[in-house]
Amino acid sequence: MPVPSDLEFRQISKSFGRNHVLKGLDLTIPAGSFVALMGANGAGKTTLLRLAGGLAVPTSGTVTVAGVDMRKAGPGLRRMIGWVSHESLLYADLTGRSNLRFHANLFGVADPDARIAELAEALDLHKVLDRPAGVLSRGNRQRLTLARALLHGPDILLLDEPFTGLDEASASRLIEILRLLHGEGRTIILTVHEIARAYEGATRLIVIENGKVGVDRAVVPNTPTELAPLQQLTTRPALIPPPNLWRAAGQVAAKDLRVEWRSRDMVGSAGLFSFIVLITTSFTTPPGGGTQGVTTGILWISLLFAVLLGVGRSMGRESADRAIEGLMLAPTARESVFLGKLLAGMIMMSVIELFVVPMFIVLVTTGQMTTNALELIGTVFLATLGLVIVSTLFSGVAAGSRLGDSLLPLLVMPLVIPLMIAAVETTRRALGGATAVGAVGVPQWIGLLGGFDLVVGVAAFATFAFVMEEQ
Amino acid sequence: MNSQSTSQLDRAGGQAPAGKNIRRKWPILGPLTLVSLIVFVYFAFFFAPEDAEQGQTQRIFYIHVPSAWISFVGFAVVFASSITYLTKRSQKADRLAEASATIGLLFTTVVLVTGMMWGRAIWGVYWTWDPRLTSYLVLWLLYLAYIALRAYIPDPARKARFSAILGIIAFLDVPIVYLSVLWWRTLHPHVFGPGGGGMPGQMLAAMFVGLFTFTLVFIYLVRLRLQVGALTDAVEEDQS
Repeated sequence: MPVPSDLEFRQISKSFGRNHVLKGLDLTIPAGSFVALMGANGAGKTTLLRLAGGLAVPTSGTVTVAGVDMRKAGPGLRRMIGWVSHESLLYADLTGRSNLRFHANLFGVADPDARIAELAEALDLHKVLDRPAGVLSRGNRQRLTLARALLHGPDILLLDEPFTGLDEASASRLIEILRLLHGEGRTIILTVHEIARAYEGATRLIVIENGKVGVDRAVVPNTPTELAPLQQLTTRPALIPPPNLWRAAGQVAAKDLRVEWRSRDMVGSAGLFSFIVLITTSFTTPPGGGTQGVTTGILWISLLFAVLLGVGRSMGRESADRAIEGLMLAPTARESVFLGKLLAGMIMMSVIELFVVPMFIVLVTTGQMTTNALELIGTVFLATLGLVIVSTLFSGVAAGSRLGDSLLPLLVMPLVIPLMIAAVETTRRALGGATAVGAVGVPQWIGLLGGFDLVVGVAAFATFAFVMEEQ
Repeated sequence: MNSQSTSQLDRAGGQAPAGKNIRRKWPILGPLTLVSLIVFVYFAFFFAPEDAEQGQTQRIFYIHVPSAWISFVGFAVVFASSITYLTKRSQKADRLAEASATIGLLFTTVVLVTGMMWGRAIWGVYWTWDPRLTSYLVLWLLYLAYIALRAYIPDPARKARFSAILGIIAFLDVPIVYLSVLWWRTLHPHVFGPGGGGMPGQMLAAMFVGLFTFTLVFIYLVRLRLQVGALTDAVEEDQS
């Protein structure tokens, strides 16, 4: 009968195109093991670890944690895993404390602040907690990363080349912490390059060769070196159920808004961009164009670009330091990331529009102030929602392409053509533009906008988990 | 060098069960498509009478309408294959989606080009923003976005997953695109229904032969694309 954190790989194959990294690998790691994984570059150590962490899915075979197939289990199983790699998975613009609080909430830690204080004590984080993660030294950031991974007291700690870039003192300190955690009964699996590191704490050495386990033997760890006394790490924090879909979405949105508040990236750059496009292109239209012709088109082109720029930037932040993997590791439905980013995107776009739309009315439609406010607000809301839905979904897709953000307009623009037509038409009429005889009325256009949002929104929600499956 | 390539191809051929299976499944497809194409040419250019108003120009219609049909069929196949890929992770479904998109883009291009030729002859302009032309332009852009997305993602599993998402969303978008451009402006002649009826039986017959033939051509080309894909895979597998 498996003990709670038994980790088992059964007939695991993993290919990246024609590169078959793992070829039918079988491996069982009982609870409480301390395993060092070795192998040549590209042998599949990291891939194996990512499969165990749920950051990748096998091409064939199954990974089970405590006897449960990871692909069939609910997101709650991910709470058993803690993940550390040489990427921090933290948001550079947020302070250490803010980063930890975000992850603690996602993982259902009952008292995040108390837990952060405990870990700060154990890992000597007091000086770094209130500084932005992006400005910390490599060693400090790695300790913060370890704190993030230990927040929820995981049974299994996976570490992918955690010593990369650490000086000798920091590396020794990390080893000592891992020994302590192992002593508490946690399963530790780490990938290392230097064989000496493998002997520093591990009790089992596994070498991956030709996509399978080549060497698997017990090792006797070296005697620990004398280190400054280290506070005992608290074993288990009190946990509450992880947040449901909506609460997790709220956490993600709040985090995005906090990042925005500190960086002012989206509202600043996208808003300014939108405004400049509006002003510049208004010089390209004949004077006195009013609400007719192309002037309302200019407004919507500028808003479309603001959405593309802002949402693309927001997903870009997730790619930096692999923060997206922090979200993938969370024991919450991955659709919550879509909803959270959608909500944050809508709030940020509303701020931009509160500035840009009145500017447009004043500067471009000079003198024609017969504005139907209700129609205008309805149009702006529904059309922006559609633009943000499509951009949020495909920003995740574009981030995984060779072109990155620059692919986003190519994917989004053809899809949002109906939105743009409807938005321009209703905005023009809401601002007092003439209506041709027999033309379709504003309510129908608004219905089309709502229909687009509903159909594409539901499809985007249903498919977003596939975007997050492996990044 | 030559002999090496030949041997690789020979071995690849021997190791390409997918390609072989497809070929064995419908051996009649190639000859049937060829015969159907000959019959279509006869119907479109000789059997169908010359249009009283539009003259010979009207015959573009026999290529234009079946191509439009195929561009929709192609998109529907991409949609169905995309759902199959995401639910069953069937590599075959992904290959079918890619093949249909490639052939679909080809036929959508034919729709646009023949539409422009006809427009120039009848309306006096190559392009007008009428609902159907505009819809097809958007459809063409969607196909292009799909193929571009595939081109820019090197990892096949990710490519299949991401393009399936686009395949689904784009298909759902098509009716909304059509409705929006229909409301936007209307100029195009209606083929069916009010104002479009009254086509002589011989013309209708030519059109239906065209629909049948183009469907066969689509299936034939998709099959060919799948075979080429399977052989390419086998060769590259052999070389790696």
